[in-house]
Amino acid sequence: MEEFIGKLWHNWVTKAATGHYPQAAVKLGEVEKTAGILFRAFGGDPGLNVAAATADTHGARRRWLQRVAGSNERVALARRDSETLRLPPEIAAFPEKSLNRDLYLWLAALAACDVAGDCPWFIRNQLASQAALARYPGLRPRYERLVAAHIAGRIDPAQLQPDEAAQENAIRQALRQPASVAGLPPLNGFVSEWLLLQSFLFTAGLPQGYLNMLLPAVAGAVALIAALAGFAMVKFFGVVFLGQPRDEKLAQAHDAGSWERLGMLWLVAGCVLLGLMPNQVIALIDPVTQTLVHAGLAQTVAQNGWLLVPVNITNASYSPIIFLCGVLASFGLTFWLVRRFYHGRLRRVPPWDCGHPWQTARMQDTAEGFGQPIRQVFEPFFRMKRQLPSAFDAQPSYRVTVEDPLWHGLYLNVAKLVDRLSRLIGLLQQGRIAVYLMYSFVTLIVVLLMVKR
Amino acid sequence: MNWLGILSQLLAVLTALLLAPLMSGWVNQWRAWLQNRSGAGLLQPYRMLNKLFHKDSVMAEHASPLYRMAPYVIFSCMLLACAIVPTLSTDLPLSPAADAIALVGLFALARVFISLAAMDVGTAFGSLGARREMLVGFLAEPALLMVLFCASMITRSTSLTVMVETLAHRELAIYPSLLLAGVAFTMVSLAENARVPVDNPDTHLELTMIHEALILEYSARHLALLEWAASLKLFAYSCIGLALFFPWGLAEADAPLALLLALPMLVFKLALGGMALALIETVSAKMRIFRVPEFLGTAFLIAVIGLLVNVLLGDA
Repeated sequence: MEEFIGKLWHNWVTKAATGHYPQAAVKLGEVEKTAGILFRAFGGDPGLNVAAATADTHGARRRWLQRVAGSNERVALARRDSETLRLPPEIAAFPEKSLNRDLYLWLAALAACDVAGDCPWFIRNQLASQAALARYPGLRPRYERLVAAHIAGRIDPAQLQPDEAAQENAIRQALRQPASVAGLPPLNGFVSEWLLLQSFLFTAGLPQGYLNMLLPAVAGAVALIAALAGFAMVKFFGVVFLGQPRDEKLAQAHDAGSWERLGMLWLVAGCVLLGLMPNQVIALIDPVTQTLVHAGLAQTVAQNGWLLVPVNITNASYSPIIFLCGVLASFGLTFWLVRRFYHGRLRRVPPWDCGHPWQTARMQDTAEGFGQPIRQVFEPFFRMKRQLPSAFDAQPSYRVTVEDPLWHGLYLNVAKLVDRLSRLIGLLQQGRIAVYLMYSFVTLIVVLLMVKR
Repeated sequence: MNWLGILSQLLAVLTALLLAPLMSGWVNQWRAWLQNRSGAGLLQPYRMLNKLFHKDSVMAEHASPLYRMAPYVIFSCMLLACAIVPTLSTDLPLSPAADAIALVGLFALARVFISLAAMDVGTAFGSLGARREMLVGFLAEPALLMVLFCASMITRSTSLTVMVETLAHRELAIYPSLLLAGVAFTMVSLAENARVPVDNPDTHLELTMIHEALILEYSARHLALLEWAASLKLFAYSCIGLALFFPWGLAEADAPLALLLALPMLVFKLALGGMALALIETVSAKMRIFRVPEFLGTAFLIAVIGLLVNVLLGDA
């Protein structure tokens, strides 16, 4: 009886503690050939064999359930030595099989791009990832999906001690790529948007009629994309930097140091300067556009001083400096007039509860909530799975998965085809010397027959 | 740039500042009359602004400087918009600094600031308002751009003053593309100015409010500036509509007498526009929030069709 209960306990606790998905596990044997081909195709040493890695003690912090179960002490890490590329014998880190398979392929690509072998592992992995993504941009969507799935399973930094939270944030930052939008006047993104829209308007008279008809649709699409970028910018800035901390521990969070912020100031200054001085930037990059398309705007814009005039002043003009001065002057004048004729008295009170005295910071929009209306508008274009909590759930959970239908409809099918072809090619790569000699013999016979004819 | 140009620019700004609240009062008065109510009077918005400017401002404890700065930025954006839209004259020295695309960018800048300010305090209503405002904005902004492009394609310019001068000097004819653009513009104006059927400026019902949810935390002078900015936005939109679709009666360069006559003409056209707006609001019902994308999507498509008609038929 004791043995039976012990077995049950062992099975249950081990299963609960692993945090893995055995139903979606991928064995090395299934991808060994593909990974090997990928590794060599990406410039990895062709003499290396692909083999299973042995599990070693990792020393990283485990969850309490894992400690209770005594599991996850050892893990098979991917590594490479002079003779072998060692990959884990099985990967079951994600609930989808395709993601686990992608992780194998990513590890192979990473091993082929190990550009900083002497650096500490944290830097080494980042540099290898950067090199792999730069050399093979086609890997980026796969990488981004893996990162998103991995981060979703990591511990929330808000639940960690400050030093561990800082490490966790550094890991997340290393995994993600920062991006910014500055499509508002008078910043840099608006100038490029403005020039792009001008090019649509004054490109009428293209040789083919159907191209002319496409212009309004494309101009509309560009305008729509620019407006959506604005939506994303408000969501990003508002949710990350504004409002109240949604977790109690975040009350102890502090801003980055002055030197770190000073570093960001350079980026901001660059963004503002590019936006305010488009003529000078256009003159600087003119040699490049001249080389590429044998035309440029530098001469036209140089004739109009601070006004950006791409064609003619009666067609279009824009001056970010005057624009900014107009906003600043009217800001200053309004502020002064309000203080001069009225007053600047101010009282600080708790936010208005609007008849609901139990408001908490958790009632603010999350990024998920903020983007919800847009997802509803574009629902037909997504492949969305929603898991909504019911009012009777003891532990309500909300989960939504948004995927690109094109990914499933087109890319996965192409990937399957390539996989099948690589398996066939893989068959040619294995065998005994006698089989290879037979291939050579048959090829020779076929070539001779063709030449003879 | 001559003294008359500077004078017409200053006059345009002053006219906007003074007439904008009057226009809001006019629309409200007409709504009241059409609903068999007596109304608060034409000067009610001025009384309201005066009262708000005298009050002490009450602000949430943890509001950041962005929250305090936003009303001034939004007011400045709307004032600048009124300065570059030809209201009385086409001789505007500020006009070359910002064309039709920059005007849309200016409205977007104000929208971003008001949404961020609403999210700053961290209340549920603030983020609700910001989310809805950006939902309306992301469809209204491209639709407005497409409307302006329809006129730009006809006039071969994105400069607002050149567009208005060219349209005013053409023969009186119905342009199919401008007709479609006019319909789209009306729909966009209703949405952008938080009017029925998209939003109701008179209610604070959480299920429906957009503009009111954004400014729920503001009080006193900050609220006054935001209300004045909303009036300026309505004024600017009305003037854009009048300039594109009824471009007559505006003064041109070196015509001081025409500048004097332009003011009564503008007041007359705005009065008619205000009545039409009150009529639309009275006969329409407020739509559900998720019908708004359909409404604005239709406006966007109508504007794109207008642009396409222009490409297919030429400037006819």
